[in-house]
Order: sequence, then structure tokens, then C-alpha cells
Amino acid sequence: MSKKILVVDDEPDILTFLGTLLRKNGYDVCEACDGVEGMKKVLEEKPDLVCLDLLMPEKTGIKMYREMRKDAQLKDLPVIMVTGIEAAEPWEFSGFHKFIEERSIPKPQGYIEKPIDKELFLKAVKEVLSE
Amino acid sequence: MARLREKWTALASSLGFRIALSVGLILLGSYVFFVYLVLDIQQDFYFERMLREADRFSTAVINATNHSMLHDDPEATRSIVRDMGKQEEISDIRIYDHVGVIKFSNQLAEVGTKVDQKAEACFVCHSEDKPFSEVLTDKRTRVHYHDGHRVLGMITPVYNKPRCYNAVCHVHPKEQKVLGVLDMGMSLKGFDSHVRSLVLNIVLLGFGTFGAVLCTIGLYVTFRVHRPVTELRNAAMKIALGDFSEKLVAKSKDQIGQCAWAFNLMRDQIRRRTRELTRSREEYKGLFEQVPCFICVIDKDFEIVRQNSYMRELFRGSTGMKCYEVFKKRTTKCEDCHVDVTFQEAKASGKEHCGLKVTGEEANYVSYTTPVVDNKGQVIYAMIIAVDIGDRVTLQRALEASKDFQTNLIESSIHGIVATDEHGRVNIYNVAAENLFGYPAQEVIGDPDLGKYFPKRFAEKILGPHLGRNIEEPRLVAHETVVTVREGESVPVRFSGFILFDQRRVVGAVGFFQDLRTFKKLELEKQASDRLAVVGQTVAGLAHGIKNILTGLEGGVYVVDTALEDEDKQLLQRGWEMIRNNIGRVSVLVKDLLSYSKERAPEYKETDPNLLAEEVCMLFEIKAKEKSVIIERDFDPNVGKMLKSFLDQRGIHTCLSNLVSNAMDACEADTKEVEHRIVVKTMQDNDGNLLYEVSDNGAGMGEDTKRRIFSSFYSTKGSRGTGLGLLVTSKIVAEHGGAISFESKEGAGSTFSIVLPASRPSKAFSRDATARDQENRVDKTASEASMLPGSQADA
Repeated sequence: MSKKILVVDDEPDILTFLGTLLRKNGYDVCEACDGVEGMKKVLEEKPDLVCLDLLMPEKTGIKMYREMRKDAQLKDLPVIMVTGIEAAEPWEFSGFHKFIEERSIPKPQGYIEKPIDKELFLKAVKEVLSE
Repeated sequence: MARLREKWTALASSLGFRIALSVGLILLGSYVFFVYLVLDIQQDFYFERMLREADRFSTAVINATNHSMLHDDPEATRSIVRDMGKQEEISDIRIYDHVGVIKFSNQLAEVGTKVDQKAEACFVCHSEDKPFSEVLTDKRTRVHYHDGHRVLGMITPVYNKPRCYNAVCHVHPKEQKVLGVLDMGMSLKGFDSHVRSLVLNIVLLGFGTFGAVLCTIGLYVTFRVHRPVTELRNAAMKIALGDFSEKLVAKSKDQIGQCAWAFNLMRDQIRRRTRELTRSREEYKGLFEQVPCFICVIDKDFEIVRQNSYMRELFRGSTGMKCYEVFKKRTTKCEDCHVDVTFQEAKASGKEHCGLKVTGEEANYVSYTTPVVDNKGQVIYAMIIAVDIGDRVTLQRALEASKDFQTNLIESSIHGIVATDEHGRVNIYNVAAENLFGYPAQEVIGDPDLGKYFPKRFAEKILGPHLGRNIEEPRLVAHETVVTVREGESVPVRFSGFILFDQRRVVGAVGFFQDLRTFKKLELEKQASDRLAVVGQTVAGLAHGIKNILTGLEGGVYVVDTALEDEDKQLLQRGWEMIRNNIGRVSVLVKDLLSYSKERAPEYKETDPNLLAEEVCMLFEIKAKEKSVIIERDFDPNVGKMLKSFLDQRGIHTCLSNLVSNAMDACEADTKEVEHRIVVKTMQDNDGNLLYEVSDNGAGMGEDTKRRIFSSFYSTKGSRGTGLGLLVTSKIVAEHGGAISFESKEGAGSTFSIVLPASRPSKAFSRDATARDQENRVDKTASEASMLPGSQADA
């Protein structure tokens, strides 16, 4: 049985792209366009992995990630952070680090920068799913 | 015995006794002498009389016997002698012949006997062998005892007279001088008895008189001298013991009485003086103890002899301790001892000291030392009077510290400080002021030409009171002005000046000058660096935007590839749409970028603001209908009529378009089941300020969004926004010298306002706008909603 992956991103293009990429590589994919919908889908679909965009309207990836980590059911659910934030933008990057460090939140299992490299993304997914 | 001696001593020392004794002795001596003299005179007188009597009697016998002798009648002679011898006073009578044979005598037995010429009675005349023919009466007498009483014997020679040697008998030759001697003895019994009774009487009388006089003198001396003197002495003793109760009674008006009166006067005086002395002593004692300074008396060994309570409490020293032990808690004399001077030169001296209190705190005092001299003028003590100046020293130190602090503060201030005294002369001019103005401090201090340093307005304030004007506002705060320095350069400064008062009296003024040269330079540099930062942020944002577009394009390409591979037509359509959308995004981005970055010179024209707003509303009308949004117009018909508006039409059109477009998006994003509407409003106030307001009842903004709409490239529209719309809007508003602000409530809607100040068109307008806005920033506290040029956001 193929693994189910939830992709959460506010940009429909990214959802289409990642959905197509993952389906092509044999995964079941479900999609959400913001954090609120993402949380709903996580609980409904019970995915094996969540690919989470860091910056989104309504509920950001950071908030959603924190909620998941607080939830007893979801706290061990693997997460790959997908974001346009790079090390070249340290104020944002370190902000995230500071955020998770200050609250003693475990780090996400994977981290992928935009623009998304297909090979790297698939490699990260495989690694996180221990395939 | 001892008591007796004591009494005798007391008696011997008493004046009365001494007077009485002296007077008595003198009196006694005088009496004895007087009695002796009287007796002697009396005795001599009576004896003389006796002698004369004896002489007369002898002469009478010789004369009586003369006749019988001449007649050679011995019987008659014998009879005469016998009869004479019978007289009571006559103890014996005899007549010798010239050879010493007794021829006649009342004592018959001795008749015919011869006497020795050496015998006592004969010796007077016969001392030189031959008889003395004429001897003096007193030589012829002698006194001898016979039958227990004294007898006066008298020899009377019987001289050979012519009648004798011429007598017929021729018995006596002519050359014979003395024929014989009559020796008569007169009894002195009666005389002696009389003298004895006389002596007795006189002695008795003398003693009686002496006793009476002595008693009188004794009583007088006792009552008039001894008693008053004793009373005087006892009273004096009482006074000596401090008892002033006894008052002497002046019983007489003599010198003793006067003495008692004088004594009472003296007693009263002494009592008064003593009371005064006691009172003043008490006062001085009280003063000594209570005076608010410490006093002590020290001897030549520097040992404390006396000290007052203040000192005792302060230093806890006791008498007998050395002064330096007490004052300074040291074991040796102070090197700078000024008490030494007092002892050696008998001079007062004074000095400030710092000792140690018993608590271990410093005791600061000024001590004055005065010499205390004895009768010979030798300094025996030194009196130290010291005033505690601890508070003064503390205050002085605090004042000095405060002064130092203030001086340091003033001197090290990076701002120029110039202050004047009450006469309007410069008295403070710090280093920063020296650096600013360039005049050396020594030239400026005391300078009355205040216009040289202070702004004219403030200099007039300072000089106002001197010209009899009231100061209405005693301060001038943060006033940006220009001062002319020594080299003639005009230097921009921020000036704050204050008139200084002391109880409503003007005591000076102070001015603070902040040199704005560096600040202005930094401001320019900051503007440049801000510009660079904006470029950096823009580039970063741009890269982010492009990256997203690139991701979309790459994704689209992958989706298209997959669709072609799988021959999935639907997927192919989606992939192609992705590519097209992202190319469109590139197009919009480039347009916005151009519009933001393009240095287009604004073209100010007299414009009808309502017409401009109407154009924008018209432009969005169709799109609004598609999205079921109503655009309402709330135009003030007077706008642009009373006061003309000069606007850059294209710029303001873009601004309003952006705001209406944002409002439309907010309405579209809102999930409320209401009729969404956008209100475009115009207003103009009397000053000509123009207000555009675009409100919607869309989704509104959360606090997070409100904070972040100013961040560059922030967009809530995902792939549809560039994050540059509000940035462009604010740039245009800033060019007009206006401001943009907003109010928003999540779920209720937002209102964006643009205020454009009334201003005549000017070529320099665009350039001045930034500077003017800078001033606005100082005057107005930027409200949360203030959107100032330089801030970038796109909601």
C-alpha cells in the first residue's frame, strides 16, 4: 500500500506541481491551501508525511507545525518544511529556529528550499519515510 | 589644762583684753611713778622742814647757851641742855669741846667722855685730819636708829666769836676757830609715822583710783570695743562661711558703730555681689554645659581638666585623659598642635580640625583656644571652644561634589552650554560651546553681548526684565535655528533656552546648543543608506518573487511534461495554465517595479479631485459587478471649488486604483454573507488639505497583517500580488507632501485615507517633500496608522 502525503501550500501552482510529482512517484496525495485546512486534512486523511509551507496566510506553517507537535496523536508525524526562506535571509531563518528552540519544539524531519529541486525533494521524502 | 590654755589664748588675742592690759599697765606705771614722785616730794619737803627746824633749834640752843657760856656758868648751860633734852622731839643733845669731850649732855652718863674723830658723826668735818670750820647744813646731818626709831642727828659747830676770845676769862684764844660742837638728835618717829600714813593714804588712793579707772576702761572696752568687735568678727566669720543672715545692730554712733554700719553695708554688697556671682556662675555653668559647641579646659600636660556635656557625649572622654586621645584617638601629640602656641605665646589661636567621634565617624570642628592665666600672668590652662562644623563640612563636600559633578556635566556635555548671570553677562561657556562658536572662553566670560550667542528671540527674553518687560514664556524648547560662529559660518543647531528664576526673581538664563552639523550630515548619509537598504530589500524581495514564479514555471513545465508522457489532457491544461499564470505574474511584477523605480517627474495640474475619483470608480465598475461588489461615491461637491487642487493626475489615479483594487480583493476574500461595498470619499478643509478615503466592509486585517503591510513584498494575495502596490501608493503620496493612513478591524473592513496638503505647484515641490515630511515627523507623533514615505507595504 502506497504512503499518503499531505501537501500544504497557499500557492495552487505548488500544490499542482508537488501533487503531480508525488503521484508520479507512487504516493497518495492530498492537498490543503492553508494551515486551517491543513490541520483538518491531517486529522481526516491521517497522512504518513506532511509537506508544509512555512509562510501562508490564515495560519502559517509555523503555527500549524506547533499545533501538530502539541497534539499527542500527531506529535510524531513526520514533517518536511518547504519554504522560500534561505540562509541568505537570516532574519527569517533564525526567527524560525529561535521559535522552535525557545519552545523546545522538536525540529522537523526534513527541510526543502524553493525553488524545489525534484530529486532532492523525492530523496528527502524517501529518507523521512525510511524507504 | 588645755582648755584653760585655749581660753587664755583666746583672751590674750582679744582686742579688749589687750587694750585693757595695755591701758592697765600704763596706768599702773603712771600711778606708781606718781605715787613715788608725790611721796618723794612730800618726804623731801617734810625732811627739809625737819632739817630747818633742827637747824633753828640748834641755833636756838647755841644762842641760849651763849650767855651762860660767856659767863662761864656751866650750871646754867647744863640746865638749858637738860631742859632742852626734855623736849619730846629731842632724843639726845650734847655739846662737845674742841677736842671732842662731851661737856654737856641730857644724858649725864656720857658727860666727860671723848668721842673718836673717826666716828660716823665726826667724819664729815674731820675727814682731812683738821676740823672743817664751815660745813653745809645737809652735810652736818645724819640719820641713825635709836631705840627702834629713826633719829636725825645734826652737828652744829660753835664758832669763836670776838665776844668769846675777848671775854675776860680768856679761855679761848683768838685763833681758835671752832670752840665746840652741838650735837643734837631729833627723833624722826613722828615724821616717819606721818610719812607712813601719807604713803598709805596715797597708795590706797592710787590703787583705788587705778582700780576704778581700770574697771571703767575695762567695762568700756568690754561693752564698746570687745563685744562689738567680737560680734563683728563672728558676723565676718559667718559671711566667710557664706551666711549672710546676720545683721549687726549699730548701738552707738562712734567709730565702732560706724564700723558696724559699714559692715552691714559691706555685707549687703557682698551678699548682692555673691548672689550675682552665683547667678552668673550658674548661668556660665549652664552656658558651659548647654552651649551647642564643645568646651574643655586643658592643662600644660594636655590633660583635660574640665569639659562640657556636649563634648562628653561627642567624644566620651573623661577628665585626666589627654586631649589628643579624646579628640583624635591617638597616642601622641598632634604635629600641628595649636594649643602649644597658646601655652608658649599666651595667645588665642584657632584652627579647623578633623577628629574622631566615639562612633568612629569623622568629627569636624573649628577650635578656638584661649589662654587662662594666673595672678602672675603665667598661662596655666588653655580653654578650647570648638564648634561642630560636621554638617557644614558634609554640606560643603556635597556642594563641592555637586559643583564638580555639575561642572563635569557641563564641561563634558556634548552640547554647547552658555549661561548668563543676573546682570545678563555670560558666566558659563563650556568646551562644546567653545568648539561650536570658536570664541575662546576667556573672551566670552563676562561678555554682555548676548545676541552673539543666543538666538534673537531668546536674547530678547533674557534682556526683557532689564528693559522692564515681563517674561511671558520663560523657555524656548528644541528650537531649530542657525547660529553664526566666529569664522562667519552659519551652523545649524537645535536650541533650548530657559530663563532661570529664584523665587520669581530672574537670576540668569541658560542655553543648550546641539550642533546639528554632524546630525545633518548623518541624516544625508542615512537617507543614502536607507536608499541602499531599500535597494537591498527590493532585490531580496524581487528574488523571492521571482523564485516563486520560477517554482511555478518549473512546476508547470513538469506538469506539462508528465501530462504529455501520460497523455493526460486535463493535466496538460492545468500545467499550461500554470505556465501562463506565472508569465502574467512576471509581467505585473515588472510593471509595478517600473512604476516604483521610475523617476518620473510629477506633473502638477489644476485638477478636479472628484473627477479623478470618478474615473477610478468607473474603471473598477465592471470588475466589481462580476464580483458582486458595489462601489459607492461620497464626493464633496465643493472640493476643488473654493480652493484649487494641484495634483499629479496619473500618480493620484494609480494611488486610488491600488486602494480600490485592494478593497475589492478584501471583499472577495471575505466569507461573510453580506453585500460588500466600497465607499470612495472626497473632502477638502478650509486650509485646502484634500482627503481621499477608500473604505470597504471586506475581510479587514488581523494584527499580524496590520504590522506587516509595511514590510517589503508582503502580500496576502499569494501568487496574485507583487507586494508593491502600497509601496507605489505611498511614494506618490509622499511626492505630494501628503500622508497615508489606515484603520482596519478583522472581519469588519478597512479604511485607507490619503491626505494631500494644499500647496501651490512648484518645481521644487517634489524635492522639498521629503524635508517637509521630516518636520512633520517631529511635530506629530506618528500614529499607528501613519504611513510615511520610505515605508513600503502592499496590502
